Amino acid sequence: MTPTPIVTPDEVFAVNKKIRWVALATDKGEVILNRMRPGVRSRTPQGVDEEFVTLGPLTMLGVAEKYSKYLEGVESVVVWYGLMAHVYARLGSQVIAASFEKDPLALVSFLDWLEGKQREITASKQETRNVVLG
Amino acid sequence: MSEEAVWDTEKGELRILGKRHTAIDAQALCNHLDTLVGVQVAEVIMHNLEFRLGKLDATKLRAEKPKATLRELVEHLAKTDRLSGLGITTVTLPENPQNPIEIEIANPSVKATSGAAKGFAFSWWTGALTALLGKEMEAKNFSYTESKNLMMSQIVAKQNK
Repeated sequence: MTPTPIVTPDEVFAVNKKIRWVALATDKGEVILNRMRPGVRSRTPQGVDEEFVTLGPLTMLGVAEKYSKYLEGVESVVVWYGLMAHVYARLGSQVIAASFEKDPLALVSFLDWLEGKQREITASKQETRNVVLG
Repeated sequence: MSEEAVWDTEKGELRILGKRHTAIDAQALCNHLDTLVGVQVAEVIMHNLEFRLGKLDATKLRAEKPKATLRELVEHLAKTDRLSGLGITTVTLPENPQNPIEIEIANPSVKATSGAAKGFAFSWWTGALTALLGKEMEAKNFSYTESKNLMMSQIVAKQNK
């Protein structure tokens, strides 16, 4: 059974109009969501996104996490491509990848949303742990 | 497939059960990957590769030996571990299919129960058994006993979470 995506495409696309694509994979490399914004055409050939999302964001986060213990974790990895920008981040036990037009304000709004979502997930995990520990 | 390893020094070629291989320092590769991307991500990367290769190898073997029993196919595959230098692998298929399949690797070329080495030793088997049993399998309960120089894992049907 495929795990339930931790966020919906609608929720992500609502953050900023310039977000073009969103994907989610588990931290084991299983793709559970891969969606373009309706009406937006992908710039990559069919199948490339899915293949990339399997291990690409996770690997880039893994490399960045080498500094985690010195720099208090990795909140996200931002890639500024020639044509667009990508953000990769962990959301609980899933990894999110999103692309958007190269607009710093779109980036900021997405990163703000991401930070809130990560906080929400951490708080919910903590709550579950407290309940379990009684 | 040739039944044995063929090391043709003239051609600079190593073939194990018919498939081209290259002898590498697997422990060094696993350590490097662990260092590069961290133990957890390295484990996922290696699992992704080895699981896929295990599935392909088992599917190919079954196509070549359509009349072979599961036990015969598994024994044949276990031989590839020995021939490639991974170690001496013993696969114990349970009488009750609900019980775990036990995998033991004596004198393993990689020794770890986490990170890339874990995937290197057991993910290929997880993929191979997934193909042979026709259901998604996963490895769990990893251990390494230093005194016996023995790595062990159990392979079970993947649980829906």
